[in-house]
Amino acid sequence: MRPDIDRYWELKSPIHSWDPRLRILTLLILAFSISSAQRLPTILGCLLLSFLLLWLTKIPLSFSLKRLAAVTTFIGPFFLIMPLTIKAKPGDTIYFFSHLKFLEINVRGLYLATRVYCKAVAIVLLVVPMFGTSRFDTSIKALEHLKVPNSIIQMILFSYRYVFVFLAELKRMSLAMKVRKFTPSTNFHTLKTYGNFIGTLLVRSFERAEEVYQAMLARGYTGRLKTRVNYRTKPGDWIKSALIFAAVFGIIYFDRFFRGF
Amino acid sequence: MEKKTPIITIRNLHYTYPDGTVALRGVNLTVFEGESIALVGKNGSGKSTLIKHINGLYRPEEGEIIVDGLPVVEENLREIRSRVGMVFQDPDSQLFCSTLYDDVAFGPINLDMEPGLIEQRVREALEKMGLVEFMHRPPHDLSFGQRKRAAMATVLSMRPKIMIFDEPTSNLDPKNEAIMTGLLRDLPTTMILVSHDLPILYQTCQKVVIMREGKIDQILSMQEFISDVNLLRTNGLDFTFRCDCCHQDPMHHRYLTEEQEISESFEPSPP
Repeated sequence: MRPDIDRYWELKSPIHSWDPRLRILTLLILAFSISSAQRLPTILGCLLLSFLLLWLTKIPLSFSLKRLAAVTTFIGPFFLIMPLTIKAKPGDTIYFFSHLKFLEINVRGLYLATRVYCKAVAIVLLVVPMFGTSRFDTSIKALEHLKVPNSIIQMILFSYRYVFVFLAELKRMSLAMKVRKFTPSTNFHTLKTYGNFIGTLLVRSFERAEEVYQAMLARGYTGRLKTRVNYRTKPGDWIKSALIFAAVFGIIYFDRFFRGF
Repeated sequence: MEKKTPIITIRNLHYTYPDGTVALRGVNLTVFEGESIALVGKNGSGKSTLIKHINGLYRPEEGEIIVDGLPVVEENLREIRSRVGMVFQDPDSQLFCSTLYDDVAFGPINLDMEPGLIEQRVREALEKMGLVEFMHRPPHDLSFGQRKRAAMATVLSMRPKIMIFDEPTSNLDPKNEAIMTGLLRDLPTTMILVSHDLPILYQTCQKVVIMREGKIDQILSMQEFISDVNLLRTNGLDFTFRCDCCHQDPMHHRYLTEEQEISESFEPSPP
């Protein structure tokens, strides 16, 4: 139930001391510039920059690597699918298996999958410096200062809160299944059980979420998050943003105009 | 003669859930300032629905509620929620911030208190609950008993005039139950306790409001209530063991000391 991304908000680092409003805005622009990069060398440079920013936060690498596991689960299959499915173009290197002629492995597919994966990793790594270096409510409040609509802020806030509610219910229910000797197998009973499990999980999570919301209302919550934070931008914050903006321009220039190699 | 001031007035309150379940059918109740009331009744009798109306979490379908002179309507909700504190049954519903401090400060911050005052209120509430040393710990690191007290602190920091507790001792071990009972007894506010745990009700409340099928069935003094074994049983109160252990004579327990009350309720009956 506890918010998790801000576990290391109390550490002292140049990223932690950066004004959250500037930090989020700057890193968001960096994330967009990474997503627009087309060439693998540029993308690898972005990846390096993300690791550098992560290192500056002093947050243990293992904390961020756990998040990469989720990215790998989603994007990992691209390495298998894209080389097999991408439409061949003149100049592509294609490998055939002598006995399985219908299987063509296009190296460009592998290259594209690598590009997508590296971009995703570079962006996901930025999430930790962006939202993990201040308390979650402070980051949310910063979004409010950046004029993000209140409905979106509330959606982020409650999604984040309820993910933990959902996980807690999930754990409780799987334990209840285990103690009654449920062993999954490939049969109708397992399918039916999982169907019931998911349905009950949704209903229970909804009920719990409703109660958390009521508990917030009962303590004066009116739909606007209030914190004790007073933001103050120091010259150092502008310098940090300027450095990142320089990197953004570097990425765009190198990616679009530099044809050195 | 002492003049009593009504702090909660409920008149002809009706409420039906969106799925059509009729929860309240014309509830009339007056709670006076400084009173401690036990709200009892079987599951589904409307206790939780009623207390959620007092805080403005549910709106009456018919009838009216006046809390400390203010009708429970949209424009008064902010003021009413600062005067009526509610502690939910499951502390995990109430604790959702990354540190205990933040959770306890959540209410005062929403009431736009000054930072210095917030600090003072949080500290006081945590001191009262014996949790100051855990102030900067995430709530999930606390034991269940501590979390229950922490949930209470989150409301105490708002200094409400009325406090409502939904099953404050459920799932607590005897030691934590005794601590909680002591804390509840020392609260200087008007209090409404929803519970199935008779020892705690007996030690903290003077008046019992019995609900049945969405209505107030009876209003009795605590002494009258505990003298009637059948009434205890029909209202699903967790006192059957003690009734059985002394051969259906609950009056016996009226003469036990407070310590005996607490400890005996958790000891096995003699063969």
